[in-house]
Amino acid sequence: MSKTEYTVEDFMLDPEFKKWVLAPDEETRAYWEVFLEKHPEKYENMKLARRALINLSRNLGEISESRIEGIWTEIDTFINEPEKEQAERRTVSISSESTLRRFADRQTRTGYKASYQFYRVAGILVFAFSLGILCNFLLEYPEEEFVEVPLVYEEHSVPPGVKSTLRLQDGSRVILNSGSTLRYVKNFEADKRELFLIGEAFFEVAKDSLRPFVVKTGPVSTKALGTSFNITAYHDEPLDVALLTGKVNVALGFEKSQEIILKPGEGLNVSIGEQAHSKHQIEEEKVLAWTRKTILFEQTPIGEAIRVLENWYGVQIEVLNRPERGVLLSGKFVDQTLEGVLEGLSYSARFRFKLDEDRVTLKFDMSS
Amino acid sequence: MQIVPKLNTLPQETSPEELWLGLKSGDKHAFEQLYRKYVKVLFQLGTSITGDAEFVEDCIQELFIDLWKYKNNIKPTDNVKLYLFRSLSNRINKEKKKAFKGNEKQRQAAANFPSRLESVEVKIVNAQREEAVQKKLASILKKLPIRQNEVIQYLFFENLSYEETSKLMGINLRSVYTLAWKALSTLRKSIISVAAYLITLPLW
Repeated sequence: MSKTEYTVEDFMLDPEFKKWVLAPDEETRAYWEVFLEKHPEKYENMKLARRALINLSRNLGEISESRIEGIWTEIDTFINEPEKEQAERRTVSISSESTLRRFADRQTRTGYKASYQFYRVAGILVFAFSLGILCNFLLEYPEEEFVEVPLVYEEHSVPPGVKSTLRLQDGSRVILNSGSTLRYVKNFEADKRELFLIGEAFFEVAKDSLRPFVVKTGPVSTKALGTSFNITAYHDEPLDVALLTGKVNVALGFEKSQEIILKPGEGLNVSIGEQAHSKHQIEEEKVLAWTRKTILFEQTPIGEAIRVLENWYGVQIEVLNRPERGVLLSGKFVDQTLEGVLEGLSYSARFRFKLDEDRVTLKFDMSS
Repeated sequence: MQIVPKLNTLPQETSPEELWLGLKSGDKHAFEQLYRKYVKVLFQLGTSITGDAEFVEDCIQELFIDLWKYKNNIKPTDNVKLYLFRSLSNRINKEKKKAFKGNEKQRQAAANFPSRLESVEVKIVNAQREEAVQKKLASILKKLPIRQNEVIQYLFFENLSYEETSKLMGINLRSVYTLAWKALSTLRKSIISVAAYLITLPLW
């Protein structure tokens, strides 16, 4: 359930909300302030929930010392004489015949009782079963929320040349870019949603403040509550986290660990090798281009551009006469063939290209 | 009756888990310590749920007698308090069901035992508590159906998690949520009526 549909009761039952009201820390404070700003219509409900929580009281009975002693004496008396009591309960038979008869009696009786019990149990089971089915139809709660499942990992790998949209069990949406792998615990655990990413993916996280959504990319983990963000974490390339909406917390697990909070419109560039990072402003169009079948190069180094193209089209690209000064490529291609893209790039960057099934050769003009 | 050594002759306070193991191996002294350690909180919980002190005392007594009787079969636990809570809860619910079937014994009986008002723990200064609302909520809580009352006790006063509460009550997580929701709904409505009362008061 989204918090925007919360009733007073739901707020009171949300552990994060409870924490905010009763024992707040910086994080919960920030979270709920932002929430309230975004959803002013929830003010009345939140106010009442807070008031109810703070005043929630019970009458506590106090037991007197004499009663504590009194009860203990009775317990003590009993446990010191259990043998006697048990002996009294047992009836000792005089003859073997009566023992056998009583045994037979008991068997028939339990037999009747058992079968009666059987119908009762069966009836209850049938009732419970049909009720269960009925509930399944009537309730639109996401079933996974409360189901306990052993840890089973689910892995999605997208080969180069293919993109894939996933809907996770918690309602979050993930678009996986070509050549990427996403691994996570099936149905997630009860207290967190943890995913491991290699490559690039765009996340639209379903709100669930009870289970933070954490994407792990090597030493860097990006934690979100309910947001949309993009992560690029290909091998041997700087890692990039771009936040579109909401709030994320990026933890850098370097020698000196660090936490960075991103605001919407901010991006974080992390160079894992150098253990360095820098913030920058993002352009939504650029970040999301790949999810809209668009290849966008803006002064992109040729190495990165080749990785993009190799992934996108599932080809191997070989570069001949690579200029020593390096080449920066620019261009925007919407739903284009590889040939179209290369042709577009070839004029400004001055190379010729040859396509041979899944092998591509770029040859730069020596003169440039 | 055997002479049991006084508590204060013990060098150190033994952990509940050790006492539990002691009970399992038939150590009567450990058993008594368990009783003395938990009788107060069990009584508090029991009376908060049922409001019937005598009944709760009986339940506690039987609970401990059974513990001793079946000590060989008790399972090791890492949370003795939760285990005892669960045992008490089971017993209360079982007895109440019985009482409901037979001659209906009202739980308002023996309501005049010493008690005090306890509110949910708040770790902020200046929490602006309102006494009228506190009293009202406590009295409404007492009138809730037992299971609804219980779930509020565990989640808000004993500060147990949903998982712990579900284990303790032997119901699934969704039922915990549903029960708590119903209880809070009743409580919430009572606040509004208090507020209305406070507003109308000055007009008299």
